Amino acid sequence: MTRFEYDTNPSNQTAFGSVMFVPVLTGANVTVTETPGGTNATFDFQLNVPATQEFAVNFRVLPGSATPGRDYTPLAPAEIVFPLGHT
Amino acid sequence: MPVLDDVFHESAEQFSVMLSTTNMTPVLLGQTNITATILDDDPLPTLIVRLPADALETSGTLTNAGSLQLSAPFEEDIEITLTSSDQTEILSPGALMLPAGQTNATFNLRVVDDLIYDPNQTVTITASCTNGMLDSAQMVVLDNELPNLTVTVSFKPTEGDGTVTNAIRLTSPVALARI
Repeated sequence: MTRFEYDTNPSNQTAFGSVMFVPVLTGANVTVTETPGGTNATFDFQLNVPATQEFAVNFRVLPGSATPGRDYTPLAPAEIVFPLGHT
Repeated sequence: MPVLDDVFHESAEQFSVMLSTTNMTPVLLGQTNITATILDDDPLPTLIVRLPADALETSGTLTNAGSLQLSAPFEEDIEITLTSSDQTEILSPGALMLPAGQTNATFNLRVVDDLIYDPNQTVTITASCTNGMLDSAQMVVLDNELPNLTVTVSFKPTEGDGTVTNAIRLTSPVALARI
């Protein structure tokens, strides 16, 4: 039986064709301070290498101790699109 | 992601963004949950206690005579503890629940009527909350006992008796007296 695994190390791209390189998406936690009139929490997502093709990642917002509509404006589930070549 | 401002003093709050992919998505997720922390910009409200300037010792319960005022409301109910510096004059009012969104409350003052002559007493009522709010106010309890003393001499002294003990009897106790 053969096991197939993604290789997340870009230095291995010279390996033989049986190894597929797949980018890794990461994001950082954010902290914002309430501001009169409102403000935005900006989430930054990063690929460790440029996308080799356009793809989308699904996201949805989950309430924690913050309350939707009172502490933040809820967003409907949606996609983050990464165009070809973007990180 | 729009973050809203409110007028409530509160702890930091959080929400998160959850990521997911399909089997066909050519990416690996280094993490699936990103957290946003919202820090509050509203200061701790100030608390003010108000009392009548004075009350007669025989007043009994002064209904809604004391009041509390907050400079801003809270998002949730808060409990405020009221204590008296001298429970022989005014009983501690106890705990009071201030409902969410409310900035005013009143409380009763129970004045103690003692049977001793103790000149007007100043009492401090302190309001405190576990969130750090603290304030106090003072009022004077006016004594109703007269400072006059009734003295009964139980015998008729004669020359040569020397020192006579227990010769004078007071008709009521006093806290402070000079004979």
